[in-house]
Amino acid sequence: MFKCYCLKIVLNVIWINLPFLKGIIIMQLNEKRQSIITWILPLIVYLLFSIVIFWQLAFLDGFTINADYSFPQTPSGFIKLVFPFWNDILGNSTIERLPQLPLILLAFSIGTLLNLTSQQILGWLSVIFSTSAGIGIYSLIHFCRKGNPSYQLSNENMWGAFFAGFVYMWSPFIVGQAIHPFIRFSHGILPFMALSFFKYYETQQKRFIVLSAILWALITCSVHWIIYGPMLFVAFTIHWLFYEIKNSERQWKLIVENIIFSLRSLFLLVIFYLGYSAFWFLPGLFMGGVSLYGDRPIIEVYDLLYRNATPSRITRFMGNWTIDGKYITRNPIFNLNIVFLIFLWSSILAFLLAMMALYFNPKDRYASFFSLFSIIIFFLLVCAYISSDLFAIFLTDLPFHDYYAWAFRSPKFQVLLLLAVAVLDGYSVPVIIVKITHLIDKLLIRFKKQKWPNLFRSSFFVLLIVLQLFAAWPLTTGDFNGSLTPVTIPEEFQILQEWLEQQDDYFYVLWIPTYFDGTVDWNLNRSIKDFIFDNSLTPVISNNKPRLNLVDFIWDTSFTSEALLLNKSRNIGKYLAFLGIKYVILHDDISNKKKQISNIREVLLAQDDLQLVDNDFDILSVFENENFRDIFGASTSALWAVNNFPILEALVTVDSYHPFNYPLIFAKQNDLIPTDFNGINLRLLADNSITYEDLAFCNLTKKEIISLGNYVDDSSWQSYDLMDPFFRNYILQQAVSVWDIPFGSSGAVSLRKNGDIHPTISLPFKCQESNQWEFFLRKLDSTAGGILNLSIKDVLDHTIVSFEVNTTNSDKNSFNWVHKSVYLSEGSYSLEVVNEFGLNVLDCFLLFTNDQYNDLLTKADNFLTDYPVIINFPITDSIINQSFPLELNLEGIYRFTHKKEVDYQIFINEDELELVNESKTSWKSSKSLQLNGTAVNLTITTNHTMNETIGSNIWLYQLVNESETLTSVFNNSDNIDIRYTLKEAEINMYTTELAPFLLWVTKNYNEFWKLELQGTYSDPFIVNGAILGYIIDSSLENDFKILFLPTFFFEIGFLISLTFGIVSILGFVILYHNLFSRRLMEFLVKRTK
Amino acid sequence: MSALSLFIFSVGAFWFIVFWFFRLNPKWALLAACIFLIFDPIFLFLRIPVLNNEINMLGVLFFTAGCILILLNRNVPTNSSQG
Repeated sequence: MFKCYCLKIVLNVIWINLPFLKGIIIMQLNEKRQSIITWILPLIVYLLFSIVIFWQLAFLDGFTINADYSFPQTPSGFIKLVFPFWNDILGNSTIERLPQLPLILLAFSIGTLLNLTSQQILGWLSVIFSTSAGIGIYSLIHFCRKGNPSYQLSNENMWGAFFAGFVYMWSPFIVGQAIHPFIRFSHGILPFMALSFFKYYETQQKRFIVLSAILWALITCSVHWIIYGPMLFVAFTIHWLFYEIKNSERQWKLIVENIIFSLRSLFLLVIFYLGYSAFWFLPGLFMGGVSLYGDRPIIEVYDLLYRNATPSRITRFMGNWTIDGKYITRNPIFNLNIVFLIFLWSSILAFLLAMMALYFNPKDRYASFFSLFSIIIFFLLVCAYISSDLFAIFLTDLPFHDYYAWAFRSPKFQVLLLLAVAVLDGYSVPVIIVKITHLIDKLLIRFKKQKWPNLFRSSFFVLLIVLQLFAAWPLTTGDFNGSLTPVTIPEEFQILQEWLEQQDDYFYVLWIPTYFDGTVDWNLNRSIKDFIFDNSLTPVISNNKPRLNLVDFIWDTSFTSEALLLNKSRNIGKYLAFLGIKYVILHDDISNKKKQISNIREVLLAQDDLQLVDNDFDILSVFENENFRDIFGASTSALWAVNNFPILEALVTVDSYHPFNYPLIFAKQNDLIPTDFNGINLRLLADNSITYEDLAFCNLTKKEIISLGNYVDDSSWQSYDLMDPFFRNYILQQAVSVWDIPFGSSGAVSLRKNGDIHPTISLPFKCQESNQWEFFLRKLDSTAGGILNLSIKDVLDHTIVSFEVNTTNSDKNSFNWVHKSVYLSEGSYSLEVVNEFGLNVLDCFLLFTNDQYNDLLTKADNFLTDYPVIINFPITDSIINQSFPLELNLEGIYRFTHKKEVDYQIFINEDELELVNESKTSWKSSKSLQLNGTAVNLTITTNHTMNETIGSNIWLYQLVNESETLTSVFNNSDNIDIRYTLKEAEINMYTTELAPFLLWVTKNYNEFWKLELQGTYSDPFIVNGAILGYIIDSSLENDFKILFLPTFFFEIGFLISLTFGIVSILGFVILYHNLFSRRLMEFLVKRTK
Repeated sequence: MSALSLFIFSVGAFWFIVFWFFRLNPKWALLAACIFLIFDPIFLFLRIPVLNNEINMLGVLFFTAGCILILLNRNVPTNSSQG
């Protein structure tokens, strides 16, 4: 109904304006009879070439899935990817896709009207933007060269401009960006943006600056253009100013006017741009600005992404790091040496021709601008190749690097070089054609063959086109040489999705295993990253995509590798339930993971709380989680985990532990201390490596922690983020896996082999008073570790104290503290850490006076008395059959307990404890034991072999009342009644419970999900390593609300952008209507005469 | 910065100065640039990858020198073609 209505309005508007449009067309045809040949013909040819590039996407059925090229199958799914603003799986990164909203809304609404699939819509968009790339350059060259009085629309000039447009649209750059449609779209908009901006400076009419801003806002569908756009604008403005100053012959008034004019233009441009972009700019600003756009990766990643950015490849526009894969062919003709050589020459042709443009047009301002611009961009692109130090300075040391560095993660800004080269080709090719014709003319005049020069001229032009065709030959295949071939997705996926959508609850679905690194049967030769997520109708959790996502963090570590595969638990469902997972779907379509998949299937079948849902699928198996309750829960008790993250693995072995009853809070993840949980029954949970330092530093806020990553200025130490998947892969390559939580915001890592220089990191600090100072450094002990040399130096570089630290640990990989106590007088010092050998990872640095440190220790002691303690002893080589001290001096009544499967003898200060079977449980425990705060020595012995004890645990827990067993401690269950209504970015809740309780919601933790209680907003904290948690004091009010606050800013921004958009469009329509009416009148008057 | 890159840059700078002082026509700089770029594929073809990049770089440096000379209106013959 609505569609019909819209169509009717559009048709009416067209109908009313038909005589007017007809008049304009007649006028245009009369005024410029050539326009068919000069404009329509190239347009059609470009369109045909674009269809050649994308015909498989635009016409064929089926869907393309290849790495980043992975999109929802339906248009509505596509819009959902961007809007609503909050997305459970994407989390923060929705904001990176948000700038695509105008383009997606426009294209996909039209596509829906025409009943196209999202694949076809993308295909047709690609065709349109590819055509616009060609015709854009064509008109840009026409505009640039028009300034020269001798310029005519001669055949040579047209051919030159056509060739330039072809160079731009049919470029190896496009081959490299096969899987990034939005980068290709921005490539198509760029020439028009440049044209409009240049036109503004030429005509000084404000409508062109508005048009530039609109095009800039559109081109931002590839977010890099937030940075690349200003590169072009500022460069051109500076160049324009130089030219004006040169031409004004020292008339200072004119010079000042010009400077003011250009500043005002840039200001206007930015204001309009922000107006059109308010819908992503406002929430983005609120959520932390540029820090959202990804962390700076470590240098290794730059090395990888810039590996093809060598001078030779950049001049061929083949700088993309995966481009070689798209040029692979089995066709024997391409393997001939001579063909390869021709390819090498053909690909450098565009750059070669462009170099001559300025020589042929030395006075032309655009030729000079694009020549200089291409040189600057070229050197920026190859900077990483010439000198990685220089490049590191550009990315990490120059002012404002925080704002721009993210856009230079990979050499995508080649497109600016391509623009410059294409325009310059439009200058030089006509001259070369003319010169060659003259040359041949001279030669042939002797033979009196009049028609030959023409023939030569045309064949030279055809040769140029053919060579360029050859340079980017994968574009001729219609699917980028196999990269974008549409495939048929098995029907099961669609049927299952629909079945899942029919279920009533709000729940998550877990897909395993990951498609990453897999050879997928129905999509051979292409990789799959986000397919499940993109096409799901229900929220999914799948670890296919490396994201900074804590749910992934858990899935990468404990469950998939340990709990799931080592078969530790029979009730894995309760952990899944805590993450809101109701269905687990195992897909058996990865041929190189068959064994892993069958292992996982066995483990899943063995779970008591997972039931295989009966259906007729071949590839998919669906397991329903019987422990699933709801997407949120509430409890009056919680576990406060002090040291290691893998404590979760130990908890899996305790059958009575249910994370719904006892949510787990990791101390290091949150900026909170236990006293912030007033009214909640907290128990401290730790493993036996816990020290007083670990307890003491729970009291620190993130501001008091000095992250070592901020002090990396030498490329031999690099900064990292422990949550960064690139970093995780990097240290996994060194055979080190560490899944601990970072204490600071970013750390430093270095790997030194024999013979390398010694990597040094220097950290300046100040001592405010002369005192005994305690300093702490958190470092990773690992199997690949080595030796660190630490020294404290004063301002005169005198070493005050120096010592070595060993960071090898054959047993396990974990972060530990280095503690040193030094007397330092007031003044400035520096801590120097030298990597002597091996892989060393540093996290943070802490500095206290002796008194401050003692204060912290006292607080730590108070923890021990205020909260009941549970300590876990994972059985390893280093503690079995030998005496070891208990790190903490515990006080109170305790009990040891372990599972019956393995027999242990426990000696406390050499007295054996009697262990008896508990009734009705599978546990053995000791009698209650009075500890009185003094040092205790423990010995654990067993007759079993190490293989039998692997994965088992002994627990020491404090008794709150005499009859408690570990099972009954965890058997706590609260029935807190909460009613709720769920919207996309808002949950309204109501409870009758009066006591304060801990509420968690299974959504990825994000600090902007705020709790609104009594009109005030409070921040969430992280529960169970991944999800949102809040403390609710419902005695204050029974109604409360959890909402994603940036949505509000998005709505305001959207209104602003909409207003700007509508006003501008109306303005343009009225302006051009008047303009054409006037011209039409003049034309008609002239004609009647 | 590698020694080879430094060498290449100094060669570029040297020739720029030579062109400047002896008032050589920038077209020779551009011609040199073209020759270097045309030779790049041959080195690439002969599987001498490092050298091919340096040759290419030399080409771009000569292109840069040529552009600067033209823009500073240095040594440009008055009868140069306007396209």
